[in-house]
Amino acid sequence: MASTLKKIILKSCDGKILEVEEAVAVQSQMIKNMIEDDCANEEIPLPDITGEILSMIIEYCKMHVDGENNSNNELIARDADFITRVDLNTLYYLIVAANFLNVKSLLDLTCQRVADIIKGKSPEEIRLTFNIKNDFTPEEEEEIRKKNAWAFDYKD
Amino acid sequence: MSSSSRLRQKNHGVGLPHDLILDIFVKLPVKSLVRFKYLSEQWFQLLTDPCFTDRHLSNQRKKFPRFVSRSSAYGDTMLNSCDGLLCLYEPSHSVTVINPATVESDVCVLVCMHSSQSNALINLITGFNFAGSRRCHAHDRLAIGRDPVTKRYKIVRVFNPDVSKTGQVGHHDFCRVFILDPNWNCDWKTIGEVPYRIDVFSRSVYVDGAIYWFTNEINHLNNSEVIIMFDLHIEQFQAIPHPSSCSNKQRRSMQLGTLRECLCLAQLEVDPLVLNVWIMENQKQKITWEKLYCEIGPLIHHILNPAGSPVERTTVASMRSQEVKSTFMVRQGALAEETTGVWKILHKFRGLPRIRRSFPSDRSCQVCGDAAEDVDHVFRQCPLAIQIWSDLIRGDRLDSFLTMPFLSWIVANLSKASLGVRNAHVFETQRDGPWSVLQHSKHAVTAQMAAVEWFRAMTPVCRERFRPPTTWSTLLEHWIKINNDGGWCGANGRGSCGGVARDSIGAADSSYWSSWQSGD
Repeated sequence: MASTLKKIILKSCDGKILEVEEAVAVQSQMIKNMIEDDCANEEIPLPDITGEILSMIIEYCKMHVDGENNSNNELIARDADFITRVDLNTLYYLIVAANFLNVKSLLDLTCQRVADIIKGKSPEEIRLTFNIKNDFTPEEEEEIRKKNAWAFDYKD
Repeated sequence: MSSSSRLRQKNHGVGLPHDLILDIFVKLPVKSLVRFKYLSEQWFQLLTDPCFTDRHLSNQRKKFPRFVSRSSAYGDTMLNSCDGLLCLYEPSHSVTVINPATVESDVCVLVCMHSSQSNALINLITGFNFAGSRRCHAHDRLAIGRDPVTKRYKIVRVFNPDVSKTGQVGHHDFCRVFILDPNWNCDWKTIGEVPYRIDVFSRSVYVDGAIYWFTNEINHLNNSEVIIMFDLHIEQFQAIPHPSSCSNKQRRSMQLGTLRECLCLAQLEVDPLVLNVWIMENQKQKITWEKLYCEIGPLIHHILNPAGSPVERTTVASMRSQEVKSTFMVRQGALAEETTGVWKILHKFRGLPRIRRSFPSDRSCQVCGDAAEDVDHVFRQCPLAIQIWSDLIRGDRLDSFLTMPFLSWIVANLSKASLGVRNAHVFETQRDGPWSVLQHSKHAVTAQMAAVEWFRAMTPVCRERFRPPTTWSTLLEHWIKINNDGGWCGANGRGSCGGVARDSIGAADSSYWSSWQSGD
């Protein structure tokens, strides 16, 4: 039994060390590749990922490994429960981390959550959120608004 | 500064690299994207890129499909759809592509390929802007699909150039392709001659980068080529293998469709009622068909045969054609009332029941595609008719001939004096003269109401004598074949039908006709 429970050691950028079961760690395609290439025998340093974010990701991966035998609906409910507890600030960290660790399902989940939050926002708010410089003239903007008036009706 | 330290600033989304913002945008609904497309020039490029559209589409496909309800106030016909784009064909000979997702449901912005209406945005996500004007013809087979490599949408048009010129169907079809691309000065691109004969009535099906049609079973004699594929990337036609048991089946009893994002072939056997369904798998250019088990007998029977009338069942074989063309065989020497009975039943299908059986509702002339196909048009105004008359009528009389009031025209040209001689000649060799034909049809029309009751009361043994033919074959001796045909005009709700009965040597035995008004 002990041999199957091989531990992978992850080190966050703020120096936190986390021991994770291999079955949980391989939810990350990046770590899986490292194990296959036999480079995961020592601790894996993860720059850009804080201990707080890393433990959330591990919680998510664990949930998916434990829930393997559960029905699809149950998993969706758990995902929803997990993601609604996360604030927008943390969501952005999670997206960056899920992308780095290559956890496809978590990246999908977090991106969908952000999309759900920002879908009703105005272009100005989006520019501010993602630091995008508007290079249209006010006249051009007015024209665009007129042409797509239906899309600027924020009712739904 | 690492991305995480940038994230620590007050504005948390700022540090996200563009590819991750795109990952988020892929999940947005269309309405938000229409708004966010104009964040900046750079984002406009990113969000209108076909690759983004592709990613967005594959995400949208995971959601529940939505239905589009469309009233045909414009008199157009829906050709097919691809990724939520609807391809419409209008009698005014233009092809319209609309994206219902990007326009309000009640204000559908129709963008025609007429130059007068060019430059309107049709697909706000992919940013199609297309102009160009080409007439399309009723004989054209049009379809829309997406090139799997370039991710561009293409409209494929298979047409017969001889039809537009002379009204005659020539021997070769040609193909042109129109690429929907915002940056191109679009026009139809000629692909060349089509090496197969595609069925005019065949519904085109788009699946995974290719468009499929049936070949025409009468004009395309090669039985090993039933399904034709047009690859949207290499822009070539090719025949693909079909389920082996379908080679000898009537093309009209088969239909192409999509199932589980694969091409599927459905084939309806009428007697006994069985629906055969195959799914095509195309792996590494190797095509295999998997047969599905379908227990639909009672369901289909109920849909097709709500009134429980035994004759309705026989129209099943032609259900996917544009017109009701039914064929019955009645044994010669059967009781006279049995023979007329079939006709009476057919007369019963009128008004709404006929519309439900997909009588043509396209008002345009099938030959020139221009005007409403009314009696006056067919006989006197269609370019083809004019050409025929000008060959037959002396030049100095042609003008008065064509401008004469229609009633006097009939009297002058189709009266007993002129037509009687012809009819006498035609029916000379027949057992029954034209008078008997008239008697038959009169009898059939007046007794039609009682006919249904009569048929219902008929014994099963009698019914056995009416059987739908499953393949075309020479009639056996002592059998009579009755062919029925009809048309319906949506504008005034009028329609008419007729039929002719022939025996095994092809001699006309008798015929009937009837006309009616919607609601009769």
